[in-house]
Amino acid sequence: MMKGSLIIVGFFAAGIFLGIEGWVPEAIVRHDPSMYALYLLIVFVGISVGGDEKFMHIVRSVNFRYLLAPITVIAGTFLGIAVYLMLFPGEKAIESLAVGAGFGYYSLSSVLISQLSGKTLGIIALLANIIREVFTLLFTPLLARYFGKLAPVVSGGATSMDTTLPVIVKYSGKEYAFIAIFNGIVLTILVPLLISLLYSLGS
Amino acid sequence: MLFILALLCGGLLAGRLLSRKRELIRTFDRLTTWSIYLLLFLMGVSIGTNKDIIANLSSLGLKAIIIAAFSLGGSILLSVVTYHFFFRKYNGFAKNAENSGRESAPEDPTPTNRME
Repeated sequence: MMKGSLIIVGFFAAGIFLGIEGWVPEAIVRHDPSMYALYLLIVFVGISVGGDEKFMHIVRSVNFRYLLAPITVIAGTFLGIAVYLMLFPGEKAIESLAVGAGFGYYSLSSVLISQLSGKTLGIIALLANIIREVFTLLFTPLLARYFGKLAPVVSGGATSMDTTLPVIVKYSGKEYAFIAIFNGIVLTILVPLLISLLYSLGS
Repeated sequence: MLFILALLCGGLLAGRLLSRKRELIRTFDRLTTWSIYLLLFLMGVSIGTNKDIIANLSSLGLKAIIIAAFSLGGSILLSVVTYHFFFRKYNGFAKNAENSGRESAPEDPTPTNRME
């Protein structure tokens, strides 16, 4: 399990290092093929989940528990931010909650928050939500082992339907594929709604 | 988002059609692992070459790390509670259906994709 995380961290760190040093071909930097790598990955995940002998059992297991995943993400994130606000009383509640409400969906949340609150908070939202995604990618093997198989889904937040889906399926098991997709879809829809709601409450 | 879902559905359909070819499905499991490494490497490259992110990393990064840590901490701890009360007993959605009537089967410690 530990080995899985180490290999993933290794590839990620190598990418950052080569990127900073500029030791990557211009073409990779200009066209950013990570999107295509993701598309490829999603097809592979589809095939390996769809090709599983237990596929029909997994589909039939869809039930009310699925709703508990996004509820846990929202409640857990806001609880964590509430603790943060108690420890750092100088921070603005609405702004901190809005950054948390990105749930890993950094592209949309950072653009939205930049417009509502300014570029500085936008960059914080971008970084905080990238961290959420990267953390999930890197530590899913450990999360699934020590915090239960639901933990990677909840940690991934809105990203559990695409970028973090492959690691979740690999380490929590294929039976968590549908709950991860459901969780991601619900949160992806809720991110813009919750962020705008927070700002309308604050003004 | 719709495109991603379409790709996923296409993959699921292809997987259903190929489900009798066990060896091929296992090859796709292995390909998944290697594409995860590729994706992470490319994400690293795109962060490393993004001057906005690298330049602001020290000043705004700390605050971002703290907010992310509290968001993640709250989520993960609450997920332990949710898992404990609603998912643990349910142990492997599909497995239950197959093993019904049998005594509690020992949990498979290996990743699911290795299962035969």
